[in-house]
Amino acid sequence: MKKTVVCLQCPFACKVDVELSEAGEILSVSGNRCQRGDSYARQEVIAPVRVLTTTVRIDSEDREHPLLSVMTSGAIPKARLGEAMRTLASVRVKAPVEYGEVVYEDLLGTGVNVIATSSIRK
Amino acid sequence: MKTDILIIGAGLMGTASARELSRYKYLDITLIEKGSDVCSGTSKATSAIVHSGWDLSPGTKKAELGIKGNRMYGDYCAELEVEFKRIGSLFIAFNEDDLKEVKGGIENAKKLGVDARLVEKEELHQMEPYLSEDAIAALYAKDCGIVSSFELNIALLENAMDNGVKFIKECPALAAKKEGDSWIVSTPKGDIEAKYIINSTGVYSDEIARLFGDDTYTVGAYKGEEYLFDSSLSYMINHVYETLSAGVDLLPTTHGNIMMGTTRYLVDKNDFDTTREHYVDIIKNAKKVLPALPERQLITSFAGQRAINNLTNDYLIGISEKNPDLLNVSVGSPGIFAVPAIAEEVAKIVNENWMKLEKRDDFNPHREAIPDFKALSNEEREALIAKDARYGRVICRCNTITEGQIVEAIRRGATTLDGIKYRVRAGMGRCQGGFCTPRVIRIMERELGVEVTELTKKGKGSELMPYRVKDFLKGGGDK
Repeated sequence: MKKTVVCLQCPFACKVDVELSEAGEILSVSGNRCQRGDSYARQEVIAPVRVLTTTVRIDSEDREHPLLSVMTSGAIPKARLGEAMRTLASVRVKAPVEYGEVVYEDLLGTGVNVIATSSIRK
Repeated sequence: MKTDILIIGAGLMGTASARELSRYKYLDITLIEKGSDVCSGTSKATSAIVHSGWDLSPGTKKAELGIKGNRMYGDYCAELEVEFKRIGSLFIAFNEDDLKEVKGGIENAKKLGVDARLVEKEELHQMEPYLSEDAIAALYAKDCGIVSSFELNIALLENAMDNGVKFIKECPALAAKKEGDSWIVSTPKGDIEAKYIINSTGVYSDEIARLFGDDTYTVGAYKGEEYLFDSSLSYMINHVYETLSAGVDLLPTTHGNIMMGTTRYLVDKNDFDTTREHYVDIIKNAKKVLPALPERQLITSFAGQRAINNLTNDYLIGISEKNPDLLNVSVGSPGIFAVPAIAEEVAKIVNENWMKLEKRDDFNPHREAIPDFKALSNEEREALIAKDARYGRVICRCNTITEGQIVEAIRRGATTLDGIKYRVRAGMGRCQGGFCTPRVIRIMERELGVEVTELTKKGKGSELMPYRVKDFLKGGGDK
């Protein structure tokens, strides 16, 4: 059967078609203008991954900002995003935190870290 | 707990009566309200017009108390520091039938002693440059005014409490029985023992009367929809417009908005919806009267319920036939203009039927309003900020409301978002709370020592944030 994926690697947004066998093996990939599209489509069809952007609670003097914006340092399996959110809900960080700092290591054993995407200094 | 007079219902009539009775010696007065704040019913959803009374029927209580009240309004609002503007009203004629009514109205006003004169087309358009060219004449009643009914209600309560009245909110009267000389009224906050009862419960007046054995009347809620425009349009209208054939009323508010309305139809007592169907009619009519009115500048709408009883078109104010300890104050519409006079009437009825009233020397009629930062001069603002730096932090940008005002509103009893809104107007401007709400919430958390999950807009059922997202996720998320 055929699955069509829109590649996100560059603004061209190629529609990439992936032919799959009954057993789920990739038979062919077409519609991509470059190799990045080929790799992206294969990954997306077999084992989709996502970078998670969310927030964690931060204890600081500033009542206006009880949450710190974060993102994962790499992509994690899309199917585990819910689990990731439930895990991060219990995370409490203490100010000061700088942009880029690791605030949580090895999310769900994926080897991916969670890093701060803003700075809260007091 | 024990009290002499229990007043049920803290709207305009209840608070005005409480304040009036607190002028007299040795009276223990308790005012209870089922809502989570004072002014929870019709009083916060009125048309804000203090009528002159030109169109009332001579010989009615409505005419007597309304016209008397109108005349008292200037001093009444001055001592309570509530803004009242006697801008006058125009009953505008667009055709010959309207004109007949205008002339009839002037005759009627003469009978009542109300100042009303004919204004011809040229003078009319000088008074109202944006009024439609189709307006041919008007009845001009110079004594009509506008007031903020919720500000007045709140001010009346503050002054009543300052003079010793006890106020209990979230306290509906659930049942009542006579024990000896007194009435035992049961409420969720305990039993209240009272000798006398004043029933000022608006659309629920019949239900409360029935608790005390009076089943002589019923009250229907007649809904009036009102629509508010941004205050940048206040230059378009200088007087209260009343019309007949044009089917719409238009007026400026004391805060500089334009308000238009209205409807009058029977609804369930829990129906406060404004409807697209009626809006479409009202705006169409309004644009015929004020062609330059920009529909896009509509900022909000609300609906109020007129408490109309089935016995009379007049006011129902008096000792109940079925219960000599019960004083019913059932005021239909219009009611705002009569408030000061009805308060005095209530005291008169108490004096004649229940107990001789003796004036106190230590009654304080003056209530100090929360400073309105927006209205102050730069020097006044600087003086205020020097006393309290929180007046230097603007929280509501639409109306320039400062943190100092919000903190003061909380100090005076606001525990909900609406409680702050009705006391200092934060959230009433163009953005309708879009900017200030999170900031107001932070201030409430700090001043009340609670988390946002415990705060409401206007009491139980209107929780701002039932749970924090993180707590929801910790509890399993979608499970």
